[in-house]
Amino acid sequence: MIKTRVIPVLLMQDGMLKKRIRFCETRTIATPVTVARVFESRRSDELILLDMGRTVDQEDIDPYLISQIAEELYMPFAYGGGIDSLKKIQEVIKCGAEKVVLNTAAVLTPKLISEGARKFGSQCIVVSIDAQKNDKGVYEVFIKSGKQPTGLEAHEWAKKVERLGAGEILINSIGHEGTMMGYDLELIKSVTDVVSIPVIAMGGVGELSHVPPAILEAKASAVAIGSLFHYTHVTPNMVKETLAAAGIPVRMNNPEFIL
Amino acid sequence: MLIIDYDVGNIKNVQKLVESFGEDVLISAQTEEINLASSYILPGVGAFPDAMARLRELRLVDVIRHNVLVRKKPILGICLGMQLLGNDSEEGGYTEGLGLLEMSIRKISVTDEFRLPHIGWNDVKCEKESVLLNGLPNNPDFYFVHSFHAQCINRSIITGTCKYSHEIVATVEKNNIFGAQFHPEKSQSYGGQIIKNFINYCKISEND
Repeated sequence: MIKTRVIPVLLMQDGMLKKRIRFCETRTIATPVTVARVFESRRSDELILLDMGRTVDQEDIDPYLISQIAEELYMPFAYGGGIDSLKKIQEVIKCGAEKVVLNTAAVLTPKLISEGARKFGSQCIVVSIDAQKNDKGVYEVFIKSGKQPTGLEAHEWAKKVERLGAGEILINSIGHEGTMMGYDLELIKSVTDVVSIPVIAMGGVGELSHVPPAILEAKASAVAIGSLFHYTHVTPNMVKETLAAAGIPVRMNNPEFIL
Repeated sequence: MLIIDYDVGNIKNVQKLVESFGEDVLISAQTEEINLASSYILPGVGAFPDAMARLRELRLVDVIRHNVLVRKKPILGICLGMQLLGNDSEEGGYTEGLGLLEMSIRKISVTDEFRLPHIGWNDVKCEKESVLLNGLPNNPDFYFVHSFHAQCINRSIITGTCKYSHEIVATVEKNNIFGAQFHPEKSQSYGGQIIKNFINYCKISEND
């Protein structure tokens, strides 16, 4: 049967890995290629790399860095950060990433989702939604690294994203990210309730007990985890053991791929 | 070994894995090179109709069929590449495939509990002795990402299956023709074993 994926998330800026807290401050951690290598050796299910330093309308993606990271990996790898054209999607995939993560550009130019899915396949297109509750108590979508409100409701945008052809949704809580206080289960469930494509939960995991509810209560198909792996001793395998103990099927005991 | 490059999907990672076993790899869509190669990998990501259109545009359909069916060279289709080996697909309407294996590609049917695409690691049950699955432990996990699956008219070609909303054919084999619905190049050590098994089969059959 299908296993729940545990996906380390790497946030990058200026070629270095960063930790981001509530989309405000950032702290440097390490070089992405080194960290990618570590997660590969730990047999991670998948990896997501988001380049925060790049936003739409900026210069082209850095093919060398993406290729270097892809070179280390024998599991799927999703790359995002300022991807706003079919050309950039093609470049990223050519460099070795399996999937692209669209965020701001998806909102500004929704047809990028449908055209990207048409040309490269839905499975290549992950749409990332950053959301937080506004003063009306509604989960509002923000773009441009969480700086610009859109007036869109997260669950409505998620439905549209699915209709446009996205293969997966990465739902990220702006309020919880980097805080290590746990996932925003209400936000995740508001999206899983209305779409039939896989949803990856992101934002806020601080301890092992935070993870199972994302699957059991909020019905996510996979969990994306940042700070917990970067700042504590917790490894993806420990997260999997916690999920397995909660009765959730996970991929375990896979030997390292040694060349 | 030649990886058929018909502009559909990511070849780099397949190349990387094959080369990691010390095997020389040529990436090409040239008829002459395809005719000279001794074995093939047909990768694929994306939509069936587009992929077949591309193969036709590059005039590769007959070349592939001739080398595989008449000259009996080994071919491994990966993901969409496996699906293209079949007779037809209902994706985006109706499109004919390469017709190398008796299978039709249909949309995976799901209930509320299951989402599409079928994305993630799923374990494969070995249904019978097979070249591709040789040497693997019981129920190894591989990475799947697809919304359509192979319905085999003749079940004898099915060597591996997995469970999702219903049974999904994971690997197929008939003489020199092989298919894997999952991505070996994205399935770490077990994926490596699949490729290694294919390479070994190619070496043996070349010597015959």
